[in-house]
Amino acid sequence: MPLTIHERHLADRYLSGELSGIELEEFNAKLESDASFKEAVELQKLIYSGIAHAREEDLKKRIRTAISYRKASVPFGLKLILTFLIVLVLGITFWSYLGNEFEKLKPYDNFISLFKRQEKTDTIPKKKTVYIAKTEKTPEESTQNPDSAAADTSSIKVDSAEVANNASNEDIEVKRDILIASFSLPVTDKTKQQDESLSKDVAQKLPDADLPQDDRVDTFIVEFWVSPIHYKGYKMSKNKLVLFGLENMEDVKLFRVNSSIFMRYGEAWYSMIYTYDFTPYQKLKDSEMPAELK
Amino acid sequence: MRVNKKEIISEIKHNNEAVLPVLAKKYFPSSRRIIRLNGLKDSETPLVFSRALAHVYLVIQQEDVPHNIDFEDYFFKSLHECINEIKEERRAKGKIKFSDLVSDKSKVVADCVTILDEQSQQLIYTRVIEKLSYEKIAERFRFTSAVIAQQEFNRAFNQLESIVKVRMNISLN
Repeated sequence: MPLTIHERHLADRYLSGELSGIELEEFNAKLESDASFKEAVELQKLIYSGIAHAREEDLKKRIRTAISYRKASVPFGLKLILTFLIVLVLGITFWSYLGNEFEKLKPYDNFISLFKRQEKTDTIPKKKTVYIAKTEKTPEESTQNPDSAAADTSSIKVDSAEVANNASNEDIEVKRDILIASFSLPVTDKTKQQDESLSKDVAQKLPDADLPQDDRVDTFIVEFWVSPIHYKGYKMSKNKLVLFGLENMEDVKLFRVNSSIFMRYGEAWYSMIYTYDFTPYQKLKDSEMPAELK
Repeated sequence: MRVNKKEIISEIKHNNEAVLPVLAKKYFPSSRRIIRLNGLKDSETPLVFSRALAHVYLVIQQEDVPHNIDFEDYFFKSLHECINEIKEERRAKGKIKFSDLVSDKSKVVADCVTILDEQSQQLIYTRVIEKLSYEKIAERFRFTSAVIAQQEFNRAFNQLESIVKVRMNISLN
């Protein structure tokens, strides 16, 4: 039997603990005497607890929505393991590639060689190759002493300090430029002939007149050299020509047109200039060749 | 919404639910650390935190809590109690208690409450949980008088009672 409004109000006060005195005694008496009344009060009590439970769940739902909790994608334990592995790998890498000073102390080259059999140390010692550059006298000095081809090779610059430091531990193999041959080579003058007979006669007849002399050289002392680094180039002074990288000496011919010197090597023509520094060969194109040489 | 520490208690007493998200965002990070330090899993932290904060919210609404208390101290104390309760529940797991049977029926009733419309739910909460008078209910829900408020409450409560009886196969007579 449903409760009346008055009975519900009484039950509400009873469940809230607000009933006291005579009201409470009467209410308890009615509970004991009326089973349906007791059942209705029990139901109301259950509904009240359900309402409280619903209210609490509603609040919890709102709170969980507000915090927007996100579970960590990587578990904490896995993070610890990954951190440990990273530290371990970095440590091994650092240990293996630490500076050279530690190599003297340890009997192995790196961490990995611990698990390998150590090789014997009596291997063929490494050779260090040192290239020695040829230092020559200046062209002016060469002209004063044209037969000084051999002497030019005497002054050789050697990095003695570096060689001395490494000599104790390694065998040094010295490679030098090699002089193949040296001989005089005539210069073929291809300049257009001009009537110079009068000027020559006047110069001969009047030596004190200080007239300009014709000092063109008709013969060059040509040296053929081979470089260990296979360099190809030349250096030319007034009467001396140093050639690097030309294998067939008999194919070299020298020509003059006006005051310019040209070299023919096989079928190729090269323009030669007077220079103290080694210069690569300047091959002439057909359009660049003087008419006298064609 | 920014809430002053001193205003939290009064806002809760006035059932201003907008303060709940603010409190949740503010206290969840520190509460999470406390919960994990007490041996609970990270995945359980939202459950424990929401339980503690909801409990505090309801206690402040239902009981005569003074306005000058420190909400933070009160909340974290409640959080520790909540953590201990959960640990006790886990220790007692497997032992069937009579309270468990009652709580199951309460869950059924709670489900019935969610079936009602929002205003009916709020009316029931206000009268049963907050224990407001019909005059104050009329003022909050903007009813014309306390009588109307009482009628509306009785209508909502009877509707809930009917649903509960149907769910529990209890005779309607």
